[in-house]
Order: sequence, then structure tokens, then C-alpha cells
Amino acid sequence: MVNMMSVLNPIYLKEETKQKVRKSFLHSAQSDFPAVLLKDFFNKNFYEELQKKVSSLHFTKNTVVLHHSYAASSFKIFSKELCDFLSFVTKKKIEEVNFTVLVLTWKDYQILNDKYLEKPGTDIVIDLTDAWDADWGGVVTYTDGKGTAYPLAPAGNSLALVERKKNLHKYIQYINHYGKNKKRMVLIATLW
Amino acid sequence: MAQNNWFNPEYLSEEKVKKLQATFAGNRPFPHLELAHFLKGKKIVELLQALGEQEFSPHRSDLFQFAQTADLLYTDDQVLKEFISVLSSPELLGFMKKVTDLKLNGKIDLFASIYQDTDYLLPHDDQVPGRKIAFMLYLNDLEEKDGGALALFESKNKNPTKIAKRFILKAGAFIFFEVSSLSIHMVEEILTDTQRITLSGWFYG
Repeated sequence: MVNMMSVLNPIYLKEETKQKVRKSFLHSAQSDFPAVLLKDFFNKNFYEELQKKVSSLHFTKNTVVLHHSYAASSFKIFSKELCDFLSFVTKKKIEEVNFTVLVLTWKDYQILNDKYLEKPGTDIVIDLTDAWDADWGGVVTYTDGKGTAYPLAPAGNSLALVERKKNLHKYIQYINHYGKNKKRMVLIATLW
Repeated sequence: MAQNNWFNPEYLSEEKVKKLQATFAGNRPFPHLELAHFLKGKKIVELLQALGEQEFSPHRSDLFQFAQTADLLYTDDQVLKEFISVLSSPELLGFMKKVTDLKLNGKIDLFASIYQDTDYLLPHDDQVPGRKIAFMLYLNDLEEKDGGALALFESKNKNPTKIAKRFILKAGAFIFFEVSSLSIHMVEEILTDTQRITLSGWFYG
């Protein structure tokens, strides 16, 4: 777990920015894909510390053939700054965030399976992978079940908020051989 | 019989069919069969030429990435029409029924697929109401290094656990298996600058 004072990129602490993000997120609720993607989200030092701490966690390779293949761990962030920001944007009271950490390498994936469908909620997706090429796969993607896919563009130090409505589900694209010897690391949490 | 123009007659004799029936039922991890050189070489060339005139659309989802034609049952191409006619003929249906001991109603689906570098089909069971047999006819050769193998999973307590059998693509091979909750299979990723070209579909019952 991480609890440090200076967590967010100062730009996201500005009232004007917070208002803009909240407006954008709440307004997107009417769209097919209600989401915001915030780049350069964390303070640079915090981001590097977060990458180190998360990388040093104990990961367990977890494969359910018809649903996923990846290594997973869990991680909590107790940061008033982060929780205040998320509470403000989502209008939900948030005091801590419990993340599932996923590490994906070549041949890993998460596919849709009726047995593992999640109930609607607000997803927080933190991307801890620098210089990841979307052509390698591993992209967290949402789909409405009608064939439309909404990929979250990979970007290290980004945080995405996705209002996962009924019939909107996420998967993680298969990582192909161009991602061999590379690691894709994401933190995912859901606010109910 | 028209099917003798297309398929290796060695497989179609009564005696051979009995042997294939036993092999199909006994094959693990679930009933399946691979018939090497089933499709005659000359017909492979004709089919490849015919498919060269078809439109392949990219297909991408959580489960797969490849290019595929529309259902070929609606094609105007004469070679493909003849092939479909033979594939759904009483003779070939009779052969499939005897080998698999499954009731078939004559309905088939047929698509052509091309997998290229990084394309794949992740594990799934093919179950859709009415589908009894899934089949693939391979139209070109691949080597192990190219990827693109068909992999069959073994299951424990109805949950797939690991790959039990793999088939490397060989032109002319006909592979089919019984569709059930146990028929978990995948097409492994293509790893080189090559193509994996197949005709595939289902027999219904």
C-alpha cells in the first residue's frame, strides 16, 4: 500500500481542472462509452514509487482457460488526495481504493464469459506500463455486446474512469508475440 | 460419385469407415479425427483460386483476430458451389454420420478464413444449438515455427485445464470433432509472415 502526501500531478489539483474532469465524466454518462482518460495523472515521483512498489508485489499466475490468463495480486492506495479527487469527479464517497493488479505477458488475455460477467459499476484503470505499443495487444477494451469496441489507449501514468453500465463489459486483448519479453501492468478497481 | 473427385477414396470404403468410427470415438481429449490428404491436391488448387476471388473481412473481438468470408453457402462461384454440394451430399453426410454416430440433418455452414501474423482464436467450445460437428479443411502447409496450430484442451470436472493435442496445418487435411461442452479448442497465434488458410464450418443435426 502507498500513502504519500504529494500524489497527483498538480494540474489535477486545480479547481478548474477538477471541475472540467467532473463535467466531462458526468456528461459522458449519456454517451455509448461513458469514460474519461486522464494522462500524466500522478506526480512523477509518486508514479515511479508506485511502479516500484507494485512491481515488488507477489504475483500468482492465474489461468481460467475460458476467461483469463495473467498474473494477479492486490494493492490498496490510501491517499486522501486521490480519494478526494475520485470522490469529487464521480460524486461517490471514496476513502480507499482496493486494486487488483494484473501483469500480462505474451499469450495472456481476458475474454468475456457469461460466468464471470461483472455487475455495473465505475471502473478505475491505472496504467503502469510505459511505452506500450497497442499493436502488441494487451489493451483494456470495453464492448457493448453489439460489436462496438472501446479500447483504452495504453499510456503509462494514466488513469481512466469508466462508468460501466449494464451491457458494457471489459476484456483485455490477447498479447501477441511482438510483446514477448515485455510486461503489461495495470491496476483495476471497481466502485459500486 | 462426385465426392470421389474431391476426396481421397481410401477413406470412404466400408471397412475404413468402421476403423475411423472406432478411432473417432476413442480419440482424446474429446471425439475427433484428422484425415490427412483427404482433399485431393488438384481440388486444393481450385479452391484456393476460387477463394482468391472472395472478399475476406477482418474479424476482431475479445476472442479472435483473423479475416473471414461471408457464409459461402451464398456464393456464386462455381467451384465453391460444387464443393458445397459435395460437402452436403447424402454420400458425405452418410460418411460423417457413420464415423461420428451423430444424427445430422443436412444443414451446414461454411466459411473460409485467413490467419496472418499475430492472428489467433482463443479457447472456446463452439456450442450453438444444432451444431453437432465442427470441421476444418486445411488448404496450405505450415511449420511448427509458424504457429497457427489447432489445439484441443483436456478438461477436469468440465473445466479445461491444458492443451492435450495439437495439429499443425497440412494442406488437404480434414479435421473434425464433436461439438459439446468438452470440445474446448483454440487456434494458436500465427508467429511469422505467413498465412493459414482454411475452410471451416459445422454440420448440424
